[in-house]
Amino acid sequence: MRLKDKVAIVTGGGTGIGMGISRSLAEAGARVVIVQSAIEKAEKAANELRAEGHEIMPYGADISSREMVQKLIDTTIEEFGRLDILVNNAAVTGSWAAAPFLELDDELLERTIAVNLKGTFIVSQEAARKMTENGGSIIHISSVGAYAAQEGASIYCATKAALLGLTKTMALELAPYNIRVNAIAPGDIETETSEKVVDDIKEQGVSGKYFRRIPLDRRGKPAEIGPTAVFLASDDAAYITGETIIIDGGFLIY
Amino acid sequence: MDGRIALVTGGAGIYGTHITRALAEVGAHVVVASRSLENCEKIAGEMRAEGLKVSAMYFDQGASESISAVCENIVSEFGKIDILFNNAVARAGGDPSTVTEEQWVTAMQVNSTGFFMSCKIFGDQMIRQRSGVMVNISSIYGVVAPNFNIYEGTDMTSPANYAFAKGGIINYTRYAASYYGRFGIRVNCISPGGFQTDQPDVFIKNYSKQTLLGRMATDDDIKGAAVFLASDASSYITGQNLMVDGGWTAI
Repeated sequence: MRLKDKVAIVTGGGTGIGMGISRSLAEAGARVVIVQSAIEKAEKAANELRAEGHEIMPYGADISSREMVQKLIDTTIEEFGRLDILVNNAAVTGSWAAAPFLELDDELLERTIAVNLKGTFIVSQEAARKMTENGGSIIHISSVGAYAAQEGASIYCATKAALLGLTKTMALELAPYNIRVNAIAPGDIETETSEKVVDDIKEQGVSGKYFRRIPLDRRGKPAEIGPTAVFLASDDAAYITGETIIIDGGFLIY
Repeated sequence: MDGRIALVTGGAGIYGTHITRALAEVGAHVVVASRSLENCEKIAGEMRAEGLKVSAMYFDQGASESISAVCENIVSEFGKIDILFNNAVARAGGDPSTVTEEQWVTAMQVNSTGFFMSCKIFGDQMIRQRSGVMVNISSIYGVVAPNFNIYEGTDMTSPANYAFAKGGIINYTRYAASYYGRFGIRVNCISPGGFQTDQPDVFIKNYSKQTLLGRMATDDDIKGAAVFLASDASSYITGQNLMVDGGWTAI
């Protein structure tokens, strides 16, 4: 149990990749706070993981609200007594984030930045202020979209690239407090929301002409992201900070 | 990793020894191999005494017949090769002002031709198996240039050939990941930072200042990354270069 007695917060931890991360952290021994903007989703995930014998706290919060985030961090400390690991996974993503650049409206622009960048920043800042006492590990979930162009995903890709800059600078400023900061950049991962992603984003005006086969020739699974989060959160990665691990079946190497 | 068969080349060196131990501690049978069979035997003997499954073989990356012989021996003894760590490297010659053509050619025989032949020979076997994992060991100096200021006050330097060889390993990792992916074989790379040994204090100090974590790599630092990339924990990761550098390349 590499994360025995540790406490983790996973934003967006109740669905898709986030749920895979919550499960892997819990299986490694951590107690996990699952944060969703809609608490019902967090509760559903919590019930599922509790049935597997894990200690989980579901929590409803809009991570772009500093007040709600402060309350999230305080409640975590009150309930579980500490905070060691933060995984910033919540994001406006997939077909919700898709719109051609020439047509993308202010509402989607602001919403994407509010969750993907501002929300990640605020949760990181409030969590890190507590972690300064005992150290910790913060993991941002970026995307292959931070590195490669994705049609119809201009602001999504921009926010995901922004997280790489945030990763390095947070790693620098938080190293003296024994807080390591890294990122994971997943490629195409099979989730409920991404099940029909190709059809869905085509409806939103994406041509799909840049889709390509990848070296491993299959989509990834949420269970293939979680173990990397466990690795980065554990002492196995004690000398790794400011780094991004790409999990994409080789998508980016062409 | 019970039942998995691993080979660590350059296994008698610092990182080779740590990688060998890391894989053996999670249950793999590890063949530790280098030109110094005596040192490999010693390492294997010590680890076997602790109950780990480790054996030694002679391996000269400068001679493809030696690479083939190790592959044949492993396959005849264990029936397969699951994990290959290409860790062997030749550190011949110094900076561009002092390195000779002969030293360069000698180093390239091991670092370029030998590295490639190791990937090819074990890759051919992994293709027959339709499974396998390769992990190549590069360096921070395969990604960035050395800052020569950190050698001030010492007679140390970073060899020119090292940059050439380690940089090549990273892009060949991508090529190999792309080529071998269709056979269910993953290929990744680890780029460690400098390991603290008996370097002069002034160097250790200069080096440490350039890392975010304020220290050189020590005993356990590469072990977690080695197990992570060799195991199913990284089943969807291929073609990647993982920095284990305390933040050296983040700044």
